[in-house]
Amino acid sequence: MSFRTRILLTLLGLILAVQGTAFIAVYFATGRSARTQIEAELGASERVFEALMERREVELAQAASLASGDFAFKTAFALRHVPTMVTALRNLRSRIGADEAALLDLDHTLLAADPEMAVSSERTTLPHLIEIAERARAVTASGVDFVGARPYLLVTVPLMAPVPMAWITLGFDLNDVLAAELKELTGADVSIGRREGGQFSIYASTLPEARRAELSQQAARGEWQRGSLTDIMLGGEPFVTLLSPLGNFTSSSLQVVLQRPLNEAMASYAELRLFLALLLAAGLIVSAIGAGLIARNVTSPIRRVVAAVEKVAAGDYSVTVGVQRGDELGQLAVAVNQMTQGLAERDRARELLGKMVSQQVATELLGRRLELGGEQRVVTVLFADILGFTRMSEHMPPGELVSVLNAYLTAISNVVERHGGIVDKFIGDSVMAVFGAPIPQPDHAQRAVRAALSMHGSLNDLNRTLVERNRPRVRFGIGVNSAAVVVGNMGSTRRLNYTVIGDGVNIAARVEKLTREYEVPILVTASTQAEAPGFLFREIDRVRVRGRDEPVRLYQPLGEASAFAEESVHRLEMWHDALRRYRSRDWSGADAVLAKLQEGEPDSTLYAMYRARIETLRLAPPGAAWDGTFTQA
Amino acid sequence: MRTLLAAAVAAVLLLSSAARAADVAGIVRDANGAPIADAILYAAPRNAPTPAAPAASAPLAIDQVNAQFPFVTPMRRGSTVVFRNADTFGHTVYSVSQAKTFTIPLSRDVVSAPVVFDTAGVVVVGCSIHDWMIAYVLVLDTPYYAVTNATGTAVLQNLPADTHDVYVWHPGMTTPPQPLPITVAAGAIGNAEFRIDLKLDGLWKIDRNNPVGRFVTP
Repeated sequence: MSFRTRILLTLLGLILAVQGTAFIAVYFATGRSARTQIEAELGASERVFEALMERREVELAQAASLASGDFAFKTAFALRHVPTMVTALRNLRSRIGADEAALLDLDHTLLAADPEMAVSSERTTLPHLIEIAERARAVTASGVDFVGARPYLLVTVPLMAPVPMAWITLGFDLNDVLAAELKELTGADVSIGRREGGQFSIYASTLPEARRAELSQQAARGEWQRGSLTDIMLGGEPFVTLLSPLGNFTSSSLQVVLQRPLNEAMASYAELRLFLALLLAAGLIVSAIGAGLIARNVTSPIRRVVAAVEKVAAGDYSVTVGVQRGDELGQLAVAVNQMTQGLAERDRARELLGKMVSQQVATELLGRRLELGGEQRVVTVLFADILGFTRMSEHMPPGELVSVLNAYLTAISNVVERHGGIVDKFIGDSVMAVFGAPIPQPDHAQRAVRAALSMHGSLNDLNRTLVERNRPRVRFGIGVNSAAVVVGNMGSTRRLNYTVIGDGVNIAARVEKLTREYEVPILVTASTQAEAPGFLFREIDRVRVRGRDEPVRLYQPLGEASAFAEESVHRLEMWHDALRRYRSRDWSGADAVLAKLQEGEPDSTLYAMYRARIETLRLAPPGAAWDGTFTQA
Repeated sequence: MRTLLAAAVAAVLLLSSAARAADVAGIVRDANGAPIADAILYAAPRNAPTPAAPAASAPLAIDQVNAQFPFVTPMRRGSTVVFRNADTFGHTVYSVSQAKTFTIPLSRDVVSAPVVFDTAGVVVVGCSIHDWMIAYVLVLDTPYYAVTNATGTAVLQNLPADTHDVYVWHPGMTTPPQPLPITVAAGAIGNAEFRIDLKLDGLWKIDRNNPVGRFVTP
């Protein structure tokens, strides 16, 4: 994730967290507030409902009292003629809009009723009501109860003529019309019902049919207590619901369900919520733009710095970071520019150094503190020299000479470095290379042998160049020796060289010179040969070089062992056989093998040399101390 | 509530000749011993023949004074009653009681048309335009009755020698009166006295200033 994205996301995240928290807080606060409000409203509805019912009872009782005081009705009662009483009741009933009317004797016997059926099917309620009136010594009694299958608001008043002569009971059906009236006044949906046999029967309601069924199902389940509020889903919409007992007869177990849609109260907050949501969205957009600008303001110079640094890393020191700012980013740009400059200088120094010393040595020198001192280490030293270069140079203009030499030395240097060695120094036309320092390499001998073999290619290139320039071809000799030497920075405190010194170096130089004697391009000492498995070697000689008692065993590397045909290997074995015979003084045997080999390679100096030695030794057999070692004159 | 004849002091009446009758006084008290006025005492002889009602006796009058009826009026069955209006305004006298149902249309007549009470029983008489006017008329099959005065005393006069079922009735009773046997010995002369403890349930009172009925317990 980029820095810019991270800044952007962090800022947006913070803003979202702050605004989101505010939004959520408001969202829940309004939700709570709406609920509190609706609950308060529902409580008010309940009180209004109760007051309305009470007032209605009182009003109905008054109306009933007034109606019962009607003298004509008293005379109708006096007639004690049922059809007359029924029609009088009907008249009375319609005057005050009652749905039921009944007349009972003082001993609670039903005298007449209208409509007849409903009252006569339920004979228990009305005397009950009269008893209440009697017990209360009141002139009226009222309450909500069932008459037949319907709940009624019942009012019982005495027929005063002039003292109570009978009881008139008037019933007002608790129906949808009443519920609608109550809804208008309470503002809540009103349903009247009761639990019976595991279900909640609704007798009157302001709810549409489908919702009644839902309410019925849920009310049957719920364990509601008076004053407890419940949320009920009707038609997928939440209704805050209040259930309370209706009327003064608990026996009726009638309950009133008051409901208000939660969304109604939420509606007033919906606008606020919408506004807040829009504010949140707008805030996020503005913040996103702002954060984007900030991020760009911050990251754009950083990206320029990064681009510059990437170029510098790729080696291009020409770049300059163009960030003109007074802040930390400006300082960073200045620092990067200074660093680039410093790197460029250092690189130039290194390049220069690399030209003077090997690349690896330069790195080594630059990488650590430059101080005098060295350590002993086993390395392989390689000397390469062009044979006959001096003679060639005599016939060549100096400019051409330098150009040819430089091309050659560059090629040689490249080969050395390709194989992990360092060019220690150039000595005229010869090159001294070291493998295994300054970086230790366990396979330094192998690397040196492989580099030596590879130098053939470079020689061919050189010869091609020379032929093009009409110059004679050249040969070169390579001497390789592995030995413990001292490596390190040597010289004075003001000027020093990273180099290797030791006898092993001298031996390598000597061995290189010996290639001319044997006319082989490469010679390695036994110590190198032993360290370089995988190559095919031809043993050349055992030589006691000048000034040294210890004989040196010399080998010519032929190439990777796997690359040789059986025939070549066979010839190599023949040669080694000849060498063995020579060393065990089997002159004729050795000579015969050599003669055989010479047939295949008539130009071989080596075979000729050995045959010459055998000739000499035959004539003057050596002493007992002779062990086949050739002592250099 | 029941009316209690909790303690009846059966008088042993000292009477001399069969031709003579005796006056017997009864005192009606409540449970606390307080006298009960406006109770009607009446006696029904078990064996002696009830004298026939005088065929053309003068009608009884029930007066309406200051929009008020007399509280209780006992009378012999078959009595004729006129309602006399002493007020400056009219009344509509009516009854829906089973013993006698009648209505005298609103009138300012000083004396109403006669009403014959020909069935024994309680007749509650009212005025349809003055709800508080209540008159209790007790129509009896016996001529022996009297209304208790403020001391709770009523005198049953000229009781023939016989064993009588004596009853006491008051509008505050909601159950029928129970008989109390009183024996008047043949030839007894003079007065005798007995007491009845009566418990009243209560009365419907209607305040003329606020004519809504109230059941008032004594």
